[in-house]
Amino acid sequence: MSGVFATLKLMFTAVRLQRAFLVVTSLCVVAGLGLLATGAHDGAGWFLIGCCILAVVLPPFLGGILLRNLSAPRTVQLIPHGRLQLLLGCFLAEALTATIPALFFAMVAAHVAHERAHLASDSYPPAMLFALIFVSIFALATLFFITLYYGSASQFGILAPIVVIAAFPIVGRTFPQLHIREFPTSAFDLSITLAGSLVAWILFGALYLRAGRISPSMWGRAVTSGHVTMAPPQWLAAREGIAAALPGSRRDAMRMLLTGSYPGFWSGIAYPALALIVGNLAGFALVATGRHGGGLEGVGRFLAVMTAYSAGLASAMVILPMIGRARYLWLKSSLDRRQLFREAEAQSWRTLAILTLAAGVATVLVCFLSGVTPRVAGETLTLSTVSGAVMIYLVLMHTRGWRLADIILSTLLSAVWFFGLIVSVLGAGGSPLLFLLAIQIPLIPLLRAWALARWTHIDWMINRPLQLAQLLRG
Amino acid sequence: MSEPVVIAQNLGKAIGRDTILRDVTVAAARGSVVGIIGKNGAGKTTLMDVLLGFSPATSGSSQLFGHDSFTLPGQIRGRIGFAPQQDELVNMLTGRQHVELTAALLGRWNRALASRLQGAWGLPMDRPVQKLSGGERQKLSTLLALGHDPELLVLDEPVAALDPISRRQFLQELLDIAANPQRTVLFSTHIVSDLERVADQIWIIRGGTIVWAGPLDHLKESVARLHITARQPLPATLPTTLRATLSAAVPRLEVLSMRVAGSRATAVVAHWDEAALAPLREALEADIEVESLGLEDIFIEFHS
Repeated sequence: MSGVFATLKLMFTAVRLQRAFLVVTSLCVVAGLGLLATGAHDGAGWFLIGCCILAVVLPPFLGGILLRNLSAPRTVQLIPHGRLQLLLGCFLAEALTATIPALFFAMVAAHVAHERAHLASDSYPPAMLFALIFVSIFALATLFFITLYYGSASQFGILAPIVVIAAFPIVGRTFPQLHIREFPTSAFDLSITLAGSLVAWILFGALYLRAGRISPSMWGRAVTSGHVTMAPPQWLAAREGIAAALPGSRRDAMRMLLTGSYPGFWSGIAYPALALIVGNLAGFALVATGRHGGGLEGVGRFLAVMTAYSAGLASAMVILPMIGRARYLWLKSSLDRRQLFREAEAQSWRTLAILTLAAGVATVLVCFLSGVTPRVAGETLTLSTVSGAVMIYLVLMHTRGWRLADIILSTLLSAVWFFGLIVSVLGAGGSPLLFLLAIQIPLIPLLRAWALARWTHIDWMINRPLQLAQLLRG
Repeated sequence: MSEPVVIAQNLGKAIGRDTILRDVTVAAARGSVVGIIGKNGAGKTTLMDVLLGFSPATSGSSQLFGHDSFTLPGQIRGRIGFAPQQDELVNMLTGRQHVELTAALLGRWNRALASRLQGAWGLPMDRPVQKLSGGERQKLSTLLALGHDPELLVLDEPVAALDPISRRQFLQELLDIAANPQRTVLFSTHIVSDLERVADQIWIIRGGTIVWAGPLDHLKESVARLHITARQPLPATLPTTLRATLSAAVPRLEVLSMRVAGSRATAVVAHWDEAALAPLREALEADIEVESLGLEDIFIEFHS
C-alpha cells in the first residue's frame, strides 16, 4: 500500500506551485502559532486558516487531471492493485483537503469562543463547525475531482466545470426539495451530503477500476504539442475544406508555422470570434434559465466581466507556444531573433485584437440582455484590453523558464490583473479604474523592451514548449 | 583538406550549474560525412544546438560557413538543413502543408528530390501529422531538412524510429546525398554499424568532451588492444606503473582500459603508433601482441 501514500504525497507536491505553497504554509503556520502565543488571537486565527487554505487549494483542481495522467501508462495495469492504490491515494488527498481547513477552523473557533464566552451561544459548537466545513469542502472537492478527471479527456472538457457550476441553479430549481443551493447545516443534511459524496466516490471508483485504457489529459498534451491554436477543430476544418488549405505567400507560411493555425478568414478570425461569442452567450442563457426570478444584473455583470477578461487569457494561451515554434523558423526563415520577436509580437496583437473584438461583442450583448449599464461594458473592456496587452508581453518574456524575477513579476501582474477583475465585477469605476490603467499602460513599453532584449538572446535549447504533461505526471 | 564548413573552438555550454559541453574543438570539412556518437546524455544534441545557433555558447566559439553560429545571417541559415531528434512538426497540418510552408519560407525547393523521397519512403502526405507514426514523422522531418538541397545537412539521430528496411533505404539515400562533394553531413546515432557504412569522420563525445575527432580509418588504426605477457608475475601496482611507462614511451598515448591477471595484462590504448611497440617491449621486458578493434569495441572502450 506504499503506492497509496506515494499518490497522496504527489497530490500535494506534484506541481512546483504546490511545493511553494507548502513552504509558505509551513512558515505561516509557525508565524501564526507565534502570534497565538503572544496573545494576538484574532489575527493568528485568520492567519492560520488562510495558510491552510493555501496548502489545500490546488488538489481538488489538479487531482483529477493528475489521476488521469498517472493512470495513462499501460504499465500501471500490470502493477498489482495499481489503479486501486492510485484511487485510494486520491481519495485520501481529497479527504485531507477537507480535513485540514475544517480542523483549523474548528480549533480557531473553539479558541475564540472560549476567549469570548458571549459568542459561544450564537455560534456552532466546534464539532459541528468541523463537520459542516469538512462535509462541504469534501463534497465540492469530490465534484471538481470527478468533473476534471472526465473533462480533461477532451479539449472541450475545460468547459465541464463551468457547465457543472451553471447547472447547479437549474437542478436546484427543478428539484427544490434537494436544497442543493444552500449549505448543509443540520446533522441530517450533513449526513446526506457526506453519503452522497461517498456514493459518488464509490461509483467513480467502480468505473475507473473497470475502465480499459485511460488516455492522458488532453490539456497537458495540447500545450506540450503546441496544439493550442485559434484554428477550428479537425472535424470542422475537414468539413469546410480548410484543412487542405495551402499557404498563399511567405507571410502566410510564417503565420501558419508560428501560430499553428490555418490561413484564411474563416479559421483565422471567424471561427475564434464565433466560438467565443456563441460560447459566452450559451453560458449566459444557461445561467439565466436557472435564475429563480429577480434581476439578472448581478450575474450579467459577472458574466460580462468574465467574458471580457477571457480574451486576454485565451490570447496568452495561444501566444505561449509561439516562443517554441519560433525555433523552427530560425533556420527556415531568413529572420533573425529580433525579427522573429516582431513577427511573434504582430501575431500576438492580431490574436488579442480578434479575441478582444469578439469578447467585446459578447460583453455588450450580455450587458444588453441582463440590463447592465453600457458604461460597465466600456470600462471593463478598456481595462481588460490593457490587461491583455500587459499579458501578451508577460508571455512573450517567458523565454528562459521560471526564475525568481519572473515569478515575482508574474505574481505581481497577476495580482493587478485579478484586482482589475474584482474592480470590474464590483463596477467600481472612477479612481480604481484610473489607478489600474495608470499602473498598466506605462508597463506595456517597458515589458516590450524587456521581452525584445530576451528574444535577442533567446536560447531554444532551454526554451522548448511547456512540459505540462510531464510536470503533471510528477 | 578543403575549407571547414563547421568549426568549434574550445566550445563550452552550461545551463545553470550543469556543464553540458566543455572545451570542444572540432572541424568538419566541405564534402565530409561526420558521424557523432556518444552515450545518452553525452551532449550530442546540445553540440548540434550550439553549432546551429539555437543556443548560445557559454565559452569558446562556433562558426558555420565562417560566420558566428548564434548570429548567423539569414542567407547562410538557408543553406542548412536540420532534422531534430524530436520533430518540430505542427500536429494539425498535413505533410503536404508542411512541405509547401517550408518551400514558401525558403524560397527554393527541389520538388523532384522531395517527391522521389516521399514516394520511396511511402509518406502519406495528406494526413495530419498527429495521425502519423513515429517513423513517418521522422521521415517527414528529414524530408523537410533535405528538400532545399542544403549545403550542410545536420541530422540528430535520424534513424532512431525507423524500421530496418526504412533504415537501410534512408542510409542509401544519405550516401547518395553525401556523394555531392559540396555537401557536408553531420549526423548523430547510436547505431555503430550505420556509422561504419556512411561516415568518413567520427566524433566521439563523452561527458560533454570530444574524446576523438578524426577520420574513421584513422580511428580504427589508432585504437588497439595490447596483450602483454611478462616473464614473471606482475605486481598489484602494475596498472599505475604500466600507464606511466606507456605514456612515457608514446606521449600522446591514452590508456582507455587495463586488466591484469598474473603475468598477463591487457590494455586498450588510443593514439596507438606501431613505432611505439619496440620501446614498450624493452621498457616492460614483456612480449606484446597488438590486436585491432571493431568500431563497436572502440566505442565501448572509450566509455569504459
